[in-house]
Amino acid sequence: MEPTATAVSGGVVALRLDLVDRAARGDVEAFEQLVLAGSDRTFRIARAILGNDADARDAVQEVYVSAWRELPRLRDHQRFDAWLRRITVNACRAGLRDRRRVREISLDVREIDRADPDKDLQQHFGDTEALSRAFDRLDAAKRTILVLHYLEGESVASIAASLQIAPGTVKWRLSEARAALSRALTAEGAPR
Amino acid sequence: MSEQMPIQLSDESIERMLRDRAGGGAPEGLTAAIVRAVGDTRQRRRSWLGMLGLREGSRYRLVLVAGLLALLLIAAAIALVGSRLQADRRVAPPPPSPSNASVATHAPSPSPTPASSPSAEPTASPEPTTSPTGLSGTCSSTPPADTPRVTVVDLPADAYQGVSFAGCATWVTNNANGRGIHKVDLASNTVVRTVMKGPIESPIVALRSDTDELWVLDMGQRVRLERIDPATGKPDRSVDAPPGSLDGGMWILGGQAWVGPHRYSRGRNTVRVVDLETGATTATIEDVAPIDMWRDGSTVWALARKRGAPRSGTGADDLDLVRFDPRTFAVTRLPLSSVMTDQRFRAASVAGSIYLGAPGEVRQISSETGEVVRRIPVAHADLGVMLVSTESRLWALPIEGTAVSHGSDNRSRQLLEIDPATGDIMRRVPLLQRSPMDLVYGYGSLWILAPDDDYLRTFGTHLIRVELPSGG
Repeated sequence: MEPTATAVSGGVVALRLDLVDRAARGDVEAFEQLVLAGSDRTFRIARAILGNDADARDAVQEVYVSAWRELPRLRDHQRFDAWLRRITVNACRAGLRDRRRVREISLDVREIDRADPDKDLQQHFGDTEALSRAFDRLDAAKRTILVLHYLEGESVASIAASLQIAPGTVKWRLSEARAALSRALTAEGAPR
Repeated sequence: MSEQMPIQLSDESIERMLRDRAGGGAPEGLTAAIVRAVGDTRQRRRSWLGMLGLREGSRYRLVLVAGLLALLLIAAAIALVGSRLQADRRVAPPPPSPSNASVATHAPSPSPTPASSPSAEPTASPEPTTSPTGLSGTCSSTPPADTPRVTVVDLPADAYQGVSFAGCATWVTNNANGRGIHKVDLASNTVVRTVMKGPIESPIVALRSDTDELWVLDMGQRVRLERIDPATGKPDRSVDAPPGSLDGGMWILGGQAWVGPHRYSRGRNTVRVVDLETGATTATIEDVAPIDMWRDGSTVWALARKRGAPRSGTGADDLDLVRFDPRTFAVTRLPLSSVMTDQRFRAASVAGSIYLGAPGEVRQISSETGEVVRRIPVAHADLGVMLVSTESRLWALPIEGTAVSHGSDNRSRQLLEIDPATGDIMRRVPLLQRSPMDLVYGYGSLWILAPDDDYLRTFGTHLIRVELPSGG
């Protein structure tokens, strides 16, 4: 079984590399295949980092338009996936920085929440909603590394390749991000 | 204050939360929209560096190597010429007289050294001098006689972040990955060059400075603030950006960078002031979380969240007006009533008063007490009013309809000129545009950054320039 699986995997890699080669030469259909194959995953990463559909949608579109435009300049086509991931991460980082929201929740509503800030949070403590709010407090770099590790299941080496940092730095940042998430959860109003 | 215990997280809980956040995959229609957008987008050509099998980032190294080679060649040429001259001297007859020798010795001296010669002093520069407001000059263009002149500057179709001013040019950051900063020529109202086209992995954004300098935040692995020489488009100064500079706000005021705390921080908020001359942190101000900052004379002002108020990103910010002492950086807080705000809706300062945009009105705020002293009703402003001040006037742009930056409505809007003394609307300038992203004043003109296309197809954006009559 093992040799067959390896052969299939090798064939998929070769096919993908061929698509990247063709797309880099201006073949829109080849690029479309790459988009079809990867947009779900890219969207999931962006959605997890940014936390809402609209921003994630903008980011993913930006990622692929950028990738299409810059692809001829990618020297090593075998690194397409890591390169695309890096563009995704940067698009999300830009999205977080430039997020322009109109804040329409009235002050009164928030005052009520603030009157007993722990109540709601205690209710949800430990569940995904509170954790998600805590995650929203993290900066882009911490969100990114947690998403790549916990959602995408990427290895330290793979994250290091995507983010172009040393594996040791990945481990340290992962640990920092996790600690920051814990602190953020505490700040969200966890019981003392 | 009791110490809070950190929460022990499990891998499973983090994974579950992230799976929830990630959703099920790309929504319907996104892939088709991407394919359409790609079809409308040209690929960049492979650069000569790429064709040589070199990385884009190798450019500077190549230039360095080429420079060293050039120096070596020049040194070799000088050595060759020198040795030939010596050989010539060996065969030449001795000078005919001592007087001739004297002339030869003094021959080089009539050309003065640049450092000592008065003519080597800098000549009058066409660029305006730096002033507290910095950008009030009109540079090369002639202001219109009586009515504002509206020009639409075409920008390459992309995504934009903001407008800056330096060296008698307007600079527009292209927010797309590594796409650079476009220079808009004031005389022709066209993009004449693009600088800082960094590698796609390292976004660079320009920061608006009030001292006629172009500063950018380079978000590579090491986040740096770099000053760009407007003439060459190259960095001529670089300092490390302090922590928080990615997610907190940053303002360049009077030669200093003010760096806000993390956008979601609560409780201990720290603003750092960095001297852009030395890169040193000159002040660390605790317990202030600015949303907007500006300078009025030597005083720096901020709209800042009230102490302990979180910035959730979805609720109205509960704000104070904050004044910083120019020498000691001591903070004076003037409590404001709640203001519905947006990153686009900055404060404006004219004639000693501060103005804030709010839904349906402009509020004049006392800079002594923070109280609202006048409300100026503005129609068609259900989302708020963008404000900007010139030397003596207040300009307002009402925002209604969609809240997103890439809006879908296409109604006509009006730019309103307000007399700060009376609160009267003095002039209405009709504009056709979508929900604007930025309204700023520089070089005698108002500049509005406005997307003008369906964001699912392109990121088309126009820069609208409104040249004001003299004294406007």
